[in-house]
Amino acid sequence: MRVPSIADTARTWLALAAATSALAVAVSVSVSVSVSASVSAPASEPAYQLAVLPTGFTAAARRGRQFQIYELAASGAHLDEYAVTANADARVVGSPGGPLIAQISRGRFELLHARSGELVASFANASRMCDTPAASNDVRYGVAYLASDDNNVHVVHGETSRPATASDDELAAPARRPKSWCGVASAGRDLVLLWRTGDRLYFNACNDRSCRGPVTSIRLPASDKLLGAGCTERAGCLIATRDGGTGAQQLVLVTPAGGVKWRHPLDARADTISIVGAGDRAFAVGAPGSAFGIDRDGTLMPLWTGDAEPVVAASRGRVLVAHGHTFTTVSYP
Amino acid sequence: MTYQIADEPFPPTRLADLAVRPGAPLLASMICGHWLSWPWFAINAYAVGSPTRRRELAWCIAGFAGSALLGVLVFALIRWNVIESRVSLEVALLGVSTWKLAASYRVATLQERSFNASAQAGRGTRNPRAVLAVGFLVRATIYHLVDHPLWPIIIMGGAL
Repeated sequence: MRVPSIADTARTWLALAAATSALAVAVSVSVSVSVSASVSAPASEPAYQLAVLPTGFTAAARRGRQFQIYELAASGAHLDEYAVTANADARVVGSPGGPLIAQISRGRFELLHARSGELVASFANASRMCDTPAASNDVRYGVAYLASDDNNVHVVHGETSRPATASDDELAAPARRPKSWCGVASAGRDLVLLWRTGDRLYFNACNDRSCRGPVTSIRLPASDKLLGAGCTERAGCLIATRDGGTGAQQLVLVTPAGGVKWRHPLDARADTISIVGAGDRAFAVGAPGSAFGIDRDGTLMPLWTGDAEPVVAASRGRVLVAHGHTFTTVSYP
Repeated sequence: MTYQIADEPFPPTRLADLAVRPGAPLLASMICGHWLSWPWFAINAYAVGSPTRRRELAWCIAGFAGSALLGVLVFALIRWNVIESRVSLEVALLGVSTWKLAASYRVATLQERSFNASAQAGRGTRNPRAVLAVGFLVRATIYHLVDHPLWPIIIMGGAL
């Protein structure tokens, strides 16, 4: 009996894997025929902040000193809108009581109810908001800032849907070196703190009690620009980077262990790329001219195309795409 | 006529005043890190006048070298995407920790025999509390001393 060689075995497995992938793509295309809802928003500056609410989504658009807050149903249908006054660094997140505004005021981090202005939480020694400061999904929200006393990344967090656990807390990233960039991303029930020091980008997953480590990292030259980041529980984090020398942009999937699984070129040129985890193994990406889903194997799924720079949020199998003055929801993954 | 007892301590050296019970560096490996415990074991081998100090030194060097090699292996497995999930990473790092603690325990057991013989000979020992306290306080600074992911894998102990 001939023993198959390693090459033969590899070819057989590759053929099987290719056939399985093709079948999976065909199935996902057939079941992802999405129900979309488009709702026009009034003309304004189109750079939205998006967050998840228990009942749907919220969007915020800056108009001078004011934020215009939109409350949307899970279908994207317009429910309510109102204006609030907030600082320039303010970010919106969703909570059981509705949208929250996070901002730094006179060295204190403040979390306020957007509608009533009632103070939810306040922490001293806040230096500045992180570069990607807000994370929001249907489980938890988090807002990250740099503390002035220990230069640590702190995140104030709470549950999106359960009012019984509304106590906010601080979770510190265990690194004391100067950070050139910091951010937070939702990853299922966890939050992932990200920060750059020197030529490395660090990741630390935090549950509702602590940032448990181990801290993982990848090499990212200081000259490269980090355009966006989103995380999931199982697939790791998807980051968008621009090479400091060539200007080439790419999406990089970083595994939860800190390895680079794949790199995908990104043609659309922008200073920020909106990325969120969608489900536990896929991501929604908003780049100029398109929004698309991409899973841990790198399989792409177009979600929206147009002329605007879309921003994305994901909740319960639906992706909200805010583009121009319109909100569209698409089912994904 | 001369005779040699197998575990008879060497004559006291200038380091004799620094001798501590080997349990102290072993404790340091757990609460401070191996950056402190293995050099401390090495100094203590001379302070105690241990006849097995070459083996103890070899184990200390093997502790550092083995941790570095295992760390490089873990990073290679991450790079090749053999280790992808956080759980598998934690298990791999647990393997490195086990090696480090095993190396420390081996040095401690070797040194304990010499220490007991040294104590029988009436040599005094130092109280290790101050070193342990300082080591515990500066461990975070040591952790951040080198900005390379291999560094904490090699030098840190059970507390971090």
